[in-house]
Amino acid sequence: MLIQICFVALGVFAGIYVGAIPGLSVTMATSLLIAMTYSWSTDTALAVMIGVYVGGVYGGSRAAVLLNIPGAPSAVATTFDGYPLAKKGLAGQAIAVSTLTSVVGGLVGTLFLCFASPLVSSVALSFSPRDYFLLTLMGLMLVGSLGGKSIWKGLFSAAAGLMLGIVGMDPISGLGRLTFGNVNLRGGISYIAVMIGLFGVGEALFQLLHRNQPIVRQKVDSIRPPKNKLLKLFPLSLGSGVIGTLVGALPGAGGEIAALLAYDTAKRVVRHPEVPFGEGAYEGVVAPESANNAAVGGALIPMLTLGIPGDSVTAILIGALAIHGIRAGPMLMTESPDLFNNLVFLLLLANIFLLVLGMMGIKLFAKMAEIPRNILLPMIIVVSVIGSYSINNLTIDIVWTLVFGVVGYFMKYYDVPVGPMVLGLILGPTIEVNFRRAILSSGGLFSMLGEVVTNPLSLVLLVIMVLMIVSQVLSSRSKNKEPVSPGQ
Amino acid sequence: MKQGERVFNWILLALSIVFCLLSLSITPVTELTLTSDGAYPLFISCLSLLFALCILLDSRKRRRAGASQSDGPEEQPVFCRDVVVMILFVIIYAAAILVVHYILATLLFTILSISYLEQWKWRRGLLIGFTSTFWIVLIFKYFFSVILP
Repeated sequence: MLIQICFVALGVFAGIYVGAIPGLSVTMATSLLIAMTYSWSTDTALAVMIGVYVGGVYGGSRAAVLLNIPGAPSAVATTFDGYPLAKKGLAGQAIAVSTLTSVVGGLVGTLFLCFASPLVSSVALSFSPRDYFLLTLMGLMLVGSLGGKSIWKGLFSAAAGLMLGIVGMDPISGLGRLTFGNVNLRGGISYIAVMIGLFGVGEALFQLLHRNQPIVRQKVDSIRPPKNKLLKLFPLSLGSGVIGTLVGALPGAGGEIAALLAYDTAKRVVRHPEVPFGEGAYEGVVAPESANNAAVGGALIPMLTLGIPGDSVTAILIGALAIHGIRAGPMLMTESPDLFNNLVFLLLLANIFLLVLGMMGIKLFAKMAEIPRNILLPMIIVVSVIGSYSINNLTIDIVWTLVFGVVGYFMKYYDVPVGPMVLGLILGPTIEVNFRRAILSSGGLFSMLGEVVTNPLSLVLLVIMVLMIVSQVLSSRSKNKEPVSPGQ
Repeated sequence: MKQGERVFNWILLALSIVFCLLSLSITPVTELTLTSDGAYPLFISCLSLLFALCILLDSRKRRRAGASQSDGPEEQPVFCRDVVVMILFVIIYAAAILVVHYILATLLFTILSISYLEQWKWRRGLLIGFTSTFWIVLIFKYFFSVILP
């Protein structure tokens, strides 16, 4: 237990550091951790990963406040008011407020995870292959948020991931597909190797384009915000936490949308802030920071109960659990109830450490974010190689990692998001198997579609899926119409 | 439009066509049913073909609308010197792992890459290379108990 506690603290510490450096993503750090923690016990591996996840989501706010660069996508909304606060010489206070509200949001998310997961899981136990097919399709909706600048490129990336998932033996007949007679391909392409390549090596190569940018020295002053202000901001923090959890629980949403939605809601709800939004309002830091950390707990709900990732990090966590022989999904609650309880405990613990480390190390982290990229980038490649090899001890995985690293560089350069490719690779086999099983058990496509409409559970899933598509279309339209916010 | 984006988009289309042809080779068209081995790959490859076409049309639309080059560091050419050299080092690294031992390959890679990125300051490259390789081996092999390549 003590070891787990130490590793959560270590994970939070590392996560804040990773999140604070623009360009280093939590997804990348988690994907590298899978391999490093492969030989550890499941609980210890989860401890460090949850720590990095929680710390990393919060860490993004550091760069957002100090440099006006979101350290993570979920910290975009924090720049709107965080940076104007820093320009006023209130960077320390802004970071302290973001730390406290992140913890409040994180605790709200944990509470929801604790109570909602058993309910969702009990419903999911009665799912048929048809429902699983619909659910995994719902998981693909994540492409909407991971899609980047062009939705077509996001969709292509997801389709390419689904195609890569086909390589290997057919899941039903056992025949080789797209293997070209090569023995190495019969087992399929390791998605961990692909993930590490795309997120690790690809990101390192992409960061070379930015390496000549001078390191911005960060200045942090007083960190103590006024108590009466904190008390006044507490209800907003709670409300934003609830928004963040609910949005985070939707596959396809995630912390970025949660933070933007909470920021937008705060702008509507707080009618008379002391300082207008966009000019350094504390409310503009509280809402997104509480929401994006609450989204962590939210994203874990569909992951643990349905086996559907809520965001890209939970997609990687599904892989991490699979490596440890645990299948995320409705059976997890009955097969490994201890694991669920442990995960809730770890999340709770991570938020406590976030409070301690976040408040303590503000000046230290500001210094650490200045590490030269010329040293950091080759190290990421070296660690990626170790990571990809250690899973199966196969040299071919190193080759896949490096090949997909180069592919990832080109994808990033041309704004093709890499997240959907990983999502496709993970969900592809489940989609195919359940689709074929559903067709076989229904006796044909039309009878399966008929069952979808007549079965209440399937109908509910279908309606949710349609609503998700509509909301994504609406949100992308409103994003396009919205003028550029101050601080962007 | 970024430099080379048009070529990149055509490559995506070409890849999709290759996907389609490969999918067609799994199950002959005459024997294709919804549950056969080749149905799902064919469906996915057709989707990727459709999306690749949409990307091409979208970029053409943007080009006609006179979209300028994007701002920021992405304006650097895709094959900028740093990236090309590092990709070359990565290839050498992969080959070296297969030929010589991992530790030796890592040492070579870190020294080469750091020296290059630090404008051929060999002394600095050697120092950081040796130190980092030592720590990597120590941490991963002995602390994390990871089997090194």
